[in-house]
Amino acid sequence: MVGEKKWVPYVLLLPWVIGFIVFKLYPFINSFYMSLFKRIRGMVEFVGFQNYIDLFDKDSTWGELFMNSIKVTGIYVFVTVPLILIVSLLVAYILSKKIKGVGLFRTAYYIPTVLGANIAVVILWRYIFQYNGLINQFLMIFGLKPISWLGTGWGAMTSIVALRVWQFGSTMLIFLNALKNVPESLYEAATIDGASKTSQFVRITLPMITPIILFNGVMRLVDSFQVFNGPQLITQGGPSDSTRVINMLIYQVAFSGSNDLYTGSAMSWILFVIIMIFTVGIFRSSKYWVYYQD
Amino acid sequence: MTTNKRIQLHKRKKRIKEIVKYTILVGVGFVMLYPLLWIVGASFNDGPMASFWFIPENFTLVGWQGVLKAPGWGSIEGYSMLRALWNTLQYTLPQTFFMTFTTLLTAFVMTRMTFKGKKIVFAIIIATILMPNTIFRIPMFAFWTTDFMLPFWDNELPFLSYLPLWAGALFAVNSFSVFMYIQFFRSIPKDLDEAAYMDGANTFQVLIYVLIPILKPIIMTVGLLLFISAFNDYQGPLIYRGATSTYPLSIVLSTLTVDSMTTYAHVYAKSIFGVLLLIIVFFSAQRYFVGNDSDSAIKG
Repeated sequence: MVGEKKWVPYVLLLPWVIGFIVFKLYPFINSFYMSLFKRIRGMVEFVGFQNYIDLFDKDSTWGELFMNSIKVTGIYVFVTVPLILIVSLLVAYILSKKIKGVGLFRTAYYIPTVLGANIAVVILWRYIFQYNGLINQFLMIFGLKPISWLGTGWGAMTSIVALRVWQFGSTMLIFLNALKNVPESLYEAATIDGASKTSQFVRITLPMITPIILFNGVMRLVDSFQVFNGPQLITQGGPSDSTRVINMLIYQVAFSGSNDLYTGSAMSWILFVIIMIFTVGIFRSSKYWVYYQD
Repeated sequence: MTTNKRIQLHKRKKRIKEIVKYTILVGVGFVMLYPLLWIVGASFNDGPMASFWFIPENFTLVGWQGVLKAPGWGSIEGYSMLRALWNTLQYTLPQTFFMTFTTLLTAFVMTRMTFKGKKIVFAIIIATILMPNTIFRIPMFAFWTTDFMLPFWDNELPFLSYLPLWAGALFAVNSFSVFMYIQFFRSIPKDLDEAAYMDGANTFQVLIYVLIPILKPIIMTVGLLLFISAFNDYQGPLIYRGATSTYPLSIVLSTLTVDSMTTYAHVYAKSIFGVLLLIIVFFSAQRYFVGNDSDSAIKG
């Protein structure tokens, strides 16, 4: 600023620069480099893209499991992300109206977001979904038959999706803030023109918050693709690998047992490329559906 | 229809709408909170809970009496759960503390100073928000386990033996925190700083005496979010875990199962103990975070 030495900003930015190089850039490049190697009879050898080829070969050690994990992760992401967006937007919409005790509701809805990612709650989720757990007790009140949640593929998937959707709090808070920033004058004008509440929501609210829908959607997409805790601890990937997501498999390959950091790196890169394809695709499509003011 | 009737009809319609609104809100609240209440009830119940109702059927205190013991952790008798909590804090505290301030400093430079390459730095910060962490995990593990890096954390020292879990905090690696601060800085008019500069304040004085007091809500918010995610971290401790005695809460809790020494009540009680600090911290800082009616610190 006034009379400030030119080097000052660079010095203050130094921690970030080191952090970026050591914790982001270097591991990013190195994980690709590592994925080109393989441990063969105790020796680490350069194998080019062999690890990648093997992962898409059904008969290799990890091939079948890996292709299955892509499918499983895909199902998880495409159920979880839209559900979180819809639930959090609807709840935020109601909360954005004049509501008594809005702070109380907001806090209550945020609590699962704080606790739900904790291992203690993840483990208890298993008890909630087990055969005589809370969910089945609830079904039985209505005379419905209990369901073997953790014993069937779709049931196990439901339990881990439910755990994630239950934590819609932070997405909701971001929507809530965006909804409050929609100018009141737009609604007033629409009301005078006789537009109903539903058409106001579709024609004013939704378009005005499309940038935030884009932001929340991409953020949730990136973290859903990397889901780990739920499947690892609630379903252990089962039954019969129906919830063995990519991140679980990466952990299994690289850190538990086989310690194959090379195949693990190749898997990470494939996951990265998948996430990038979707992210870039969504950003490309945004010019058709995201409305930017000014 | 007379006007009077029409007004009445309108009023009734409005009231029905209100009822529907609150029913939904309370219903959602129930789904959000009832599982937690049920868990609390289950921690006082002997055996598995066999009802939807959260009041225990066979009341027992056995789970809470044994809440601080973790049989099977390290030995049959096990270490105390307080040790697990302390182990967790040894990376949660430095991670929260350092990250809160290094990312603040980075955001300050990005919004209040001019320098060459600012646009590139900003682009990198935004791009790294979206970078999946999974891609860094394996090479960072390889990095920390090299002969050169190993002595820094493969030791018995408090805090330092968990270095791989919080070292990034010294270098502002959490792009999302930087981004949140940048958003907040932009909402503070620059006239404030300029007035202070006119009065002869230097950069640091402006940051500490002018900006930080205004930034308090966002500092609390970022700090709270960082605390929650560090405290809840499971995959990090799982990968870098050392001797059994150094296991943090997330690892100790993940091994909890019902067996001959551990009843359902034990599992539930210990799990609640495992999130107790989280609950306390959240409720003491949440007024900054979830915001009051007029404002919320999170900006999209």
